[in-house]
Amino acid sequence: MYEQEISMKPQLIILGLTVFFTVSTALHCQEIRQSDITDIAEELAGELAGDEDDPESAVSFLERLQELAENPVPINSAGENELSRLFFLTDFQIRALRDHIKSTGSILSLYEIASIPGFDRRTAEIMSHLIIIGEAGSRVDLKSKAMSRTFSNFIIKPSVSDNNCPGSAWKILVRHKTEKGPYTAGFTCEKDPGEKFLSGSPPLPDFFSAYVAFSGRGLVRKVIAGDYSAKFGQGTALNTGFHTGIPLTAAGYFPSRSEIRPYTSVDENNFFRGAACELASGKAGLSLFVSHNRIDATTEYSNDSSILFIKSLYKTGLHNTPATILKKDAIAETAYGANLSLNFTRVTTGMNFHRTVLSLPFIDSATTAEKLFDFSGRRKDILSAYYTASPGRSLLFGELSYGGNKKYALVQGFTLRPSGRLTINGLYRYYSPGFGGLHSRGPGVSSSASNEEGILGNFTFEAARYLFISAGYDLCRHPWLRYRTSFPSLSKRYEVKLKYLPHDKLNIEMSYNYRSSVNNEKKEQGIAGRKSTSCGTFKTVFRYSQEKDLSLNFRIDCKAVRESGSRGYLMSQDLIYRFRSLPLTFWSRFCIFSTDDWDSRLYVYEYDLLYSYSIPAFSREGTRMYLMTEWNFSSFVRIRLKYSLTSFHDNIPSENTDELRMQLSIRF
Amino acid sequence: MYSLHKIPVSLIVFSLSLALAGNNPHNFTAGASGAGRGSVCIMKPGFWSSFTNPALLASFPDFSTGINYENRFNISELGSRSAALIIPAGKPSLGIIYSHFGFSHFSRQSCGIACGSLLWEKISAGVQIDYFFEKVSEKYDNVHSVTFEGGLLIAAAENINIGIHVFNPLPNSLRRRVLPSSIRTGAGIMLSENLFAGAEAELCTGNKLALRAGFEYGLTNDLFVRGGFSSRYSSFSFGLGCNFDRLDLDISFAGHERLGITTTFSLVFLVKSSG
Repeated sequence: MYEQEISMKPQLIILGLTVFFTVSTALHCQEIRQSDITDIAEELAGELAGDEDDPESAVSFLERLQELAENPVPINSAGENELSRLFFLTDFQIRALRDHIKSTGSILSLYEIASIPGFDRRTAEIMSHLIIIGEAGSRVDLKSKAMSRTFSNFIIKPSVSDNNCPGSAWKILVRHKTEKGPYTAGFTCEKDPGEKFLSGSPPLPDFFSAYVAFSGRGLVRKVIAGDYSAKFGQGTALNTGFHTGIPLTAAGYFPSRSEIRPYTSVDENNFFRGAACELASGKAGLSLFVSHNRIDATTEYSNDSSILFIKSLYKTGLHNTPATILKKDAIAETAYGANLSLNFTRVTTGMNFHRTVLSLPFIDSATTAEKLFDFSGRRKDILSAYYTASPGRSLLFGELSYGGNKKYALVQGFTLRPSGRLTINGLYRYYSPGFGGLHSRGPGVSSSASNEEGILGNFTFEAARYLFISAGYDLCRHPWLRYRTSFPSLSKRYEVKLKYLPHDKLNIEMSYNYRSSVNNEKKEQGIAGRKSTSCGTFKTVFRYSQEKDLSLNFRIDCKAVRESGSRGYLMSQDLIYRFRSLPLTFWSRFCIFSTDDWDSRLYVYEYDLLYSYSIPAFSREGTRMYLMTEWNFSSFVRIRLKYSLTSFHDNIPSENTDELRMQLSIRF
Repeated sequence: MYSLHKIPVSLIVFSLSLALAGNNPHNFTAGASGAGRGSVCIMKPGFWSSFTNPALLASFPDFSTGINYENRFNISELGSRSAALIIPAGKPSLGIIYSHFGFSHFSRQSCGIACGSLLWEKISAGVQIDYFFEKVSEKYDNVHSVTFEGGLLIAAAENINIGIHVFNPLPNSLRRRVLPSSIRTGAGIMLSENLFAGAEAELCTGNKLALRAGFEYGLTNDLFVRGGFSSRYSSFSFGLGCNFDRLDLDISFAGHERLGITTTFSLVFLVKSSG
């Protein structure tokens, strides 16, 4: 109890400081842009939720969306680089947008965007929050003076408390960013539930990250000192950004855009710490980076106690027990590399190399069949070459990476647009068993970039006015053993989606998604058997908006697991109301779920604090409700409060889980 | 010995009370007109529908009263008797309903007061406060519950209505006894001047998803034939309705795959027309 009281003090200090900043900077306020970026997040919620190995991807994705909302793209005056800030658009869409502006002049409305090949009305609506339609001259140059943003999150689950943890039950996140001209600086600090806010010598938050960056237009395009993330090509060799999987029915895939950018996420292990720069001259670009960072790991001595080695990497970032505190910053990772690119009118090509050196070696795990190909030793080198080409109305892209020891990755994809109403995509990927480096996250169903070969095809067809049909099929082979799968295996997925958009206020979507895979069958003794698991999920989403002030979202999900016969059902109702006369917005949801077991669980995206996401999984019988409110109580301060409660109605004794989230964001 | 019999009898009665009225035994009856359409009623304006989705009260501006009797599986102990009143109060309308289900050893009485109004050009909303009183004979405690429900009616197009209804959205952690919650949504379309078709989905806590579809066809301006289907217990239903000058009479029959036929009869009397 005493410990908890002590650890609350830093939280109060942070809160106090934040309020102080709020008051003291009132004269320098800038209006916070009202935007609603959650629509696009909901579009991808299924994919984000499905990637349970990599929850931070969703956070990174939302952060980038929010940044975009705060600094939207002036599409009529933007070059291709500026347009590419709309990172959720494919290369094909960006090129189509640029060509359209070149050939017909400035875009005047969202309807015009929807008519461009590769776009539909839904995409245009999502973009509306993230772009400026109008001439460049009408845009206020926000960079002419210093601009700062700070936000703080305070999250607690009152019904969950563990007195054995060294810190309080609060989860706290503070993030700050200041921009002036071409310079940007910022920091992020975070503590998870049960962690001490300040620890060590000198006392620092459990996670602390900071950076200083410069953006230029000449030879030096970008310089970052501090923490940063990097992605080159398709990311099969290096990608410390987000991994979104490969959506089955998307109009295209995430583009192969190379970039280094300041690190603002809270994944405590997947980023670089050091310096990086981007240089450009004519059609050539060069990125250089060097990093030395400490990351979490489980370490162990060899049997004869002569060698300390890495048993496994620890990725959750949670350090609230003696065992997990020991894992914190257990090893040092040094990385350096370079990326060279050439950008022609219709072809972009490049190659990169990077080396990662660890302070301790990974154990040679050849004794376990499943880990036969896993990385061992201290050093990993990966060399990669990639290209993107757009001949005519199509787009081709690919990447080949070599990681040594005959381990390589190959990605090849295409987008065809045979008519204005039809888009066809294809993607092949192969990752050798044991290929993936510490930061390899290329396109694929798994974030590990290893032991996967798959082919995916899909199309989007405007079947009639207002009616869009999409379908996709993905076949994936795992040539070697995996976790809980003691044999080479095959998995498949397919999805069919209908979108009906009869008018601006109404949006109806129906989709059917099927997944099947093979795993070990649990046996008390002997060799594990094979167990097929397949499930189908039917979703219906209905959205209705009354002008700008009222939105209603209704959803029905049904899931059936074929082998066990278990079923899952979910219905939810959202109501979002924005007051016209007050700077106040309300979100509310009431949801009922009923599932037979964990296998038939269902995921639903929830509106949440800015820069945060919530896609809870629902199983058993119960209800879920939340209320969230946002109050812009002055033009530069915004407060969000969210209270959520999950209540179970079945006879299994359990706790009701409630959570309170608070956020204060300031812009000055 | 007698009291030992009453326990399983009461439980059977309670479970049967869930069987036809949809998933949620605490939801008020839809009247014979709604029952004839397979209980598809949360988007179709009408006297009894207004107590299934209070948003529909906004579409019923006449001062009216009605009675309803539902004879479940033709077992008198499972009968429901309801009486209701709708009072227009300017733009909004108010509704009051009383219902009684059961017999001397197990009964559930309920009453509700509802209000519905047009909030926007195409959206109506309504709320209803409900009180339930459940009585089991002998030594078992009586149960009192209070909750509320709310609904929306959206005119998505000239001939398409969408209804949404939420019952008991309060978390049960705030209660001593669990009261089921449900969400219900549906869409209805006037395919022609005298043909209505609609479909609904409902999920109630502790139950599977129930889907329903139904239609109503006006043979003349005053005579209606209705039919419907509910996926729960694969129940088909049909009904007839006849409108007189100030009196509407409706009757419906709904089947259950094992338990037989449920007959519903309702009468609505127009006290004063708004127009």
